[in-house]
Amino acid sequence: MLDFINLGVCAALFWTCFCRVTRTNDNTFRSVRLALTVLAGASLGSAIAPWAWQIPATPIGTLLALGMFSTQASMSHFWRGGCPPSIQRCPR
Amino acid sequence: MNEQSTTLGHMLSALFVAAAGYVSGDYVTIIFGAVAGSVWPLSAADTKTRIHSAILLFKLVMTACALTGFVAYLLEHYQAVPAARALAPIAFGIAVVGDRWVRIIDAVVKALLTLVEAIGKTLTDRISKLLGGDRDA
Repeated sequence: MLDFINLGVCAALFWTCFCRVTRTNDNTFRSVRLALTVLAGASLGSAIAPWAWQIPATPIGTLLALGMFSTQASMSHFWRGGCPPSIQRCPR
Repeated sequence: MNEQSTTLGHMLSALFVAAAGYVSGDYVTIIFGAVAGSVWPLSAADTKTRIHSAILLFKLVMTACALTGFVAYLLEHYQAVPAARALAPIAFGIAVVGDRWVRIIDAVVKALLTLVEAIGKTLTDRISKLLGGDRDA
């Protein structure tokens, strides 16, 4: 059961990362892009780990993913009009 | 007759599951590496909508799927790196390069053409020397 909850939370987390990288571009700070890439990769790996590598989900790992998803979701209104200017190297 | 067809059906199912199971593990690893890696070029691309992003992601993942097996084979054959362990990092690396493959292939083709041109020029010089073309010099 926890594996499936973890799958759902991690898939949602990956979706938030995907939506953000859709709005970033070459002008966005490299560190932000790298952070989103790592988070997307980690969420994807965590989602498929129980089936792909027989690593079961843990309550703490799922809670951590849920926390990250909540953070991403609560900050999403900053991204409504595109990539926030404060993380762009030179505003266009 | 019914029994026979059922047995044949079971056998085919068993064969399919065995074959798909054998290959799917590798493909899951490759797709994981490819998707994780393709987020980096996706973050640099100037995509307008999620559909554009999804299409780009699909293209990058497909490129990685197509090339990973070949690169893994080369690594295993020439460097003795076990292909099963190298699949995810190779797919990740191929996907990270992203849509810059065209530029890389262009550069490689240019380098090869320059090399061929240099070899051709050397051969022409040697032949002309053999035929006594150096008397003019």
